[in-house]
Amino acid sequence: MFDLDREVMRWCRKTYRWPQYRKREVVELEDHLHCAVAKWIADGLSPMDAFQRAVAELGDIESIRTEYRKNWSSVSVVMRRFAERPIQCAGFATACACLAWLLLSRDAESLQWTRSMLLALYTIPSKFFGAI
Amino acid sequence: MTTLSKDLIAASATPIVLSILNRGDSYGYAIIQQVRELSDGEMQWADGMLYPILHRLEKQRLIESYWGLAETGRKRKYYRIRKGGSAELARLLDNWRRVYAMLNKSQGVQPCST
Repeated sequence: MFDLDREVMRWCRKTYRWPQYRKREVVELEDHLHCAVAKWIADGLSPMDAFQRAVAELGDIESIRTEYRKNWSSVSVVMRRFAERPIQCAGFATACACLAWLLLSRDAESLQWTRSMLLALYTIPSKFFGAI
Repeated sequence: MTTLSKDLIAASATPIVLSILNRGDSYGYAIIQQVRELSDGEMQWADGMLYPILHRLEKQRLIESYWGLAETGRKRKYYRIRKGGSAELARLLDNWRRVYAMLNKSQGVQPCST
């Protein structure tokens, strides 16, 4: 049996996934889909057909995502990327910190330590998660 | 009659949304329905494109939002126009009137006085 509420929620959360999209954006979209579905059901469509019609009316998802991205500030983009791939981003941030430390200290011991750290940061995550 | 071009639809989105909100508070789906009614179905927006526009206008402090409840008890986000939004609407309407008058002049038509 087609569970409309569950399908609407699932579609919205899959299409507008956290962390790129905030919960309030998803709730707003869910309300929109419920309104559109109700209209199509009133016009005589089955709940499943009404749901598909409502989703189609939303338009091309990639274009909508592009429009959303235009509203994000550069800080917001960085934060959302970080939340999306925390391990890679944390590795990248540590690598930057190591490089900065290397540039500031410049003694042989620090150089050796930084080199090992950078090597580990590059090889371990890239083996498991792919390159940053 | 040919459909309106995408560029024209995009350019008119802000004044249309502000005009609708200038009549009273509203929410996404209702705004889309009003656009369809006002344009007699000529302005075909992809429904999903409205929300980034609303969020952009909110960020520009032309409109503001608040949460309410739908008749069904679901959470619903309503939008209302701010003072800055009304001023921006007046400015945009003036721009559109000037363009319209210029086009009429170029065709040798007397612009409507109203």
